[in-house]
Amino acid sequence: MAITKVWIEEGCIVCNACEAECPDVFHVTEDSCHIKGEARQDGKESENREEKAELKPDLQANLEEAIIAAAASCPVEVIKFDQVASAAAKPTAAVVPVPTTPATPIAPASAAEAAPPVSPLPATPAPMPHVVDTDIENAVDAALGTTANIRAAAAPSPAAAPSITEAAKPRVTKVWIEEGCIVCNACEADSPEVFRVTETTCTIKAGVRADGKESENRAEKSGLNPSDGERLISSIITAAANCPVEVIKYEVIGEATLVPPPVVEAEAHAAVEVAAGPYVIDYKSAPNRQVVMPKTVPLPSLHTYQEEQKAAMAADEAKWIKQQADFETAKAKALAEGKDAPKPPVRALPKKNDTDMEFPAPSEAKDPDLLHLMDLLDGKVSQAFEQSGELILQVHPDGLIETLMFCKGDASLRYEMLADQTATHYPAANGFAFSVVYQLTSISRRKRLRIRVLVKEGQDLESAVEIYPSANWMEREIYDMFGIRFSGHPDMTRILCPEDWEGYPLRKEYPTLGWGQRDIDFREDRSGVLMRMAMEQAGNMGINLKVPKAD
Amino acid sequence: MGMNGMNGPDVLEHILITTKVERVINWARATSVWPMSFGLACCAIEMMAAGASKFDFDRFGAGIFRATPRQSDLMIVAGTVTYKMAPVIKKLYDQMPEPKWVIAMGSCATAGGPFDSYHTIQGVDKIVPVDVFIPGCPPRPEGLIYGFLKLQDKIMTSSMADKYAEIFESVS
Repeated sequence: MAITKVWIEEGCIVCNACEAECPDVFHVTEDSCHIKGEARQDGKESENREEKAELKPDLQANLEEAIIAAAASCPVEVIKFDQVASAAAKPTAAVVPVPTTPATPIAPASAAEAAPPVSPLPATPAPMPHVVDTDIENAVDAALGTTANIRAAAAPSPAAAPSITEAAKPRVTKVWIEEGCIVCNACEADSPEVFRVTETTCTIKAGVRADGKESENRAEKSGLNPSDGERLISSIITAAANCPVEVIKYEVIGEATLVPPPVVEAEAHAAVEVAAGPYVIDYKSAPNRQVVMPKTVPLPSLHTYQEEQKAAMAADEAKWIKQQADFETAKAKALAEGKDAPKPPVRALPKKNDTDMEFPAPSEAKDPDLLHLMDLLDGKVSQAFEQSGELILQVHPDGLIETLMFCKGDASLRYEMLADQTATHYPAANGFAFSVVYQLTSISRRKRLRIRVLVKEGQDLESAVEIYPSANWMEREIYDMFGIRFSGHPDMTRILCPEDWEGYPLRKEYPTLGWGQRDIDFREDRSGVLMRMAMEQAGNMGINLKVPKAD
Repeated sequence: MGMNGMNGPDVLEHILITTKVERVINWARATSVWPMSFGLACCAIEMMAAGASKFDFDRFGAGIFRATPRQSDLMIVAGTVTYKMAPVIKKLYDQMPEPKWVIAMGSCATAGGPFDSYHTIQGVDKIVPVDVFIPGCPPRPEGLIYGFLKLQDKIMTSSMADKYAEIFESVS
């Protein structure tokens, strides 16, 4: 026996199975499978579908088994080959239809056309009826009609040898129920014409059986009516795949081109998994979870205001210069062409603001308190300005305590009270991350003053508790909400959130819904205590609560 | 002695009421529910008003607000339940003797209310089993009283087997 030709029919799924079996002959490319050039007599590499070039003589006998194995392992069965008996041994029995689907028997090779083809020889020696298990892999095999299935189909069965025409159409020959049925009704739901679930077991209905009896069909293994077996093959395979204890067995002949039931099963599993856990919330997709980080730093300051004004004026000036230049060029062009000169541009006056809601622009510090503090602190003041009647003094973090001591202790200032202390997060800022403000009030002088400090990420500030005792809780709150620590504070712990809280809620990157802390559920049976108690109580009452499980 | 000359069953019909023990127990429980003062936010103001003379919660046997869970039958969760308060509620509920009931009063205790935020538990039923939910922000004292009457109905129609029913349901 030898294989003269190998070719690949259309439909290769590029699965690499053939190359794994027989790398000397097959070469799987990105889009198809080729017969290698070194194995072919014509030396070309292609699918060999059209030309059907012969294999090299030395390979014909040596690689016979490997090629047959590769053809058998091909899940879509596109590997075809011509097999001949060696000329010396049996010249007449030349062509043997190779193990392929009975539905599409290959044409006899041209070399053997002279000799009449003999009846199909079984590819496998023993005609073993193939029992399709309900394992997922086997179910896939059954659905795709792979080799094991075909062996059973092609094998001439001594009891009822199926003719070629019968074998061509896929059908279920027998269905039976093994022991261990849990009476779950799953099969009856999938295939009500075949299965009937009684109180104790599941039976195959009399209407579809050849012998007309209704039983589990376990012992007798009576065949199905051919028409029913053909019509109901899909529902039977589905029922077998969906059986939770996998006791539904069946025999199938022919190439079953069905939607593989395991896919359906997998979808069902996926749906179950999604449905489970009513308290689980997908925080990443929640709209409140989406954090939009600010891109600007709306920190009011005289310096930035002046910069903005200067930039606006420069832009205005540049625009005016360009207008004039354009006018000059247009004028020169008009003169050269002898036309009238264009109108000279008029500089636009600034728009009149007739609304009474004017933006409170920051202005230079004129208040004696601010000027006095600037004198006292010398170079530690970053900037001082007034805005809509509020006094703002921005100091360097090093001079903060000194500033507060002056504010409280200086005879001409006398800011006795720290009314409020809070912070703001500026994630887009360059050089700092937070601004901490101290709102001071002078009760005796009826004045208010704001001290502002800019803090970097991870930078500690000095605590103001020694000067203003009211800073105690406010600094704890700032630490709780922003994560800014104050050195020298008597108790630098969280004040609003619990101590095991994660994250700082008033930072801009913190999502509104938090990181899932609020989804606590004290009722859930974490350690199975409730379950054990229930089992014990039920046991005392003589009730078996255990869900039946088939091992 | 004074029954001389009268037939026995007729006498009994006049002086006795036949009923079930369970019903008597339920009646006793439903008409003397002692709530725990558990005001967490503004709903507590309405709860106080319900307890005061105009609405007079005491008409239904529920006027004695106790300051300890060990003497209480009913926990009226009146207000916003924060993450920090949740373990406290659970602990207090566990300290209450059986049988015990919970009323979630107002939107916050029912479903978080307007506080769809990181710190608010979205409903006290995430922590303790709730018998009656009362909507409103806050509900008026009439609302609380109506909810309490519903709870009384529930107590009157409950049976001793209910206690075990939940356990079996959760298992099967």
